[in-house]
Amino acid sequence: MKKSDYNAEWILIMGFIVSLAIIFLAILLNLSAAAVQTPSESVMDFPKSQIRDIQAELTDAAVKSNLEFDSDSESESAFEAKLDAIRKLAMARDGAVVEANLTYGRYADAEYVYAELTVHYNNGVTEYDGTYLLPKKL
Amino acid sequence: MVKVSKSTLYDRECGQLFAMEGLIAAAIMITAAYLALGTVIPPANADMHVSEMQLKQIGDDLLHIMDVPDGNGGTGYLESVVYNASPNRGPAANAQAGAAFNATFMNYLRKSTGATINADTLRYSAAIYCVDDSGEVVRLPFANYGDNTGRNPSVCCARYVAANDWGLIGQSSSDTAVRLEVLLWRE
Repeated sequence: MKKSDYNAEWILIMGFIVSLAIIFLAILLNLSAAAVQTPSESVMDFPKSQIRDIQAELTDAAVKSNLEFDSDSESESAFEAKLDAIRKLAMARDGAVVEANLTYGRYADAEYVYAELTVHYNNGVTEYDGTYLLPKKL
Repeated sequence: MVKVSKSTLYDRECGQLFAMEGLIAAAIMITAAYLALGTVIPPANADMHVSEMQLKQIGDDLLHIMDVPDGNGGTGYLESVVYNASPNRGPAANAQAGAAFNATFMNYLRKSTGATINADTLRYSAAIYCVDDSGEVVRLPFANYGDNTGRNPSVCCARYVAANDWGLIGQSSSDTAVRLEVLLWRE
């Protein structure tokens, strides 16, 4: 074999290395495109304002019911009426399941008695559960 | 004789090298084709929906600040507007509530620094959804600024508002909650 043929083998090896490097860069490029797609979709899909809104309204209603509540009367109907309306509106307009439960006198210490409010939200993609303690001075 | 056979052997080995070069050239061309066909830019939501995300954030924020009470234990502005928008208050109070909401909402919507003149391109259309005696959801048109002909993509912002003594005409009134929905778009 002539000597020039051995030199050609170096050219072939360099061709291999360059093409491998190009494939590696192409894989990196594809990964970066997917990395842009997924988080921006998650940001769009997450129902942040809906959850905060429902949480605020139900907490307001629960605080009012809790302050008016004494164990003899049945004043929790004010909270139940609001919860019922929000439940129906959320299902009809938002396609979301909203559920809440209010337990009076869940905990007590020397100064306060706490009502416990649990809020559940599920729109099929995002599920959210929250628990809130609402204090009332004894 | 021996010399001639040797040279033909060398020629054949050179041919193997050319075949290998052909294979590698094919591999490189396939790689190039893979790169050319595989490099598509996926339409990311970050590009497509940026303006919609901003509009939705504006609308949600406006409804939020209008619903938050000014002081501790008070009622928010939206609550008093919705109170007057109840159908059992009569059409005059309802129209007044719509006008008051329109003035406040447009005022917030057009807020700017004053250093430049903002083009007045934001439009909205609001409706109130409530639950009637039979448990059905009813839509009540509330207030609007501009008409959407369907050409402009709009976003929907919503807020639940506590509604005291709220009732439809001819039905019982109660302390309940309604849903105020605002469609927001750019003209």
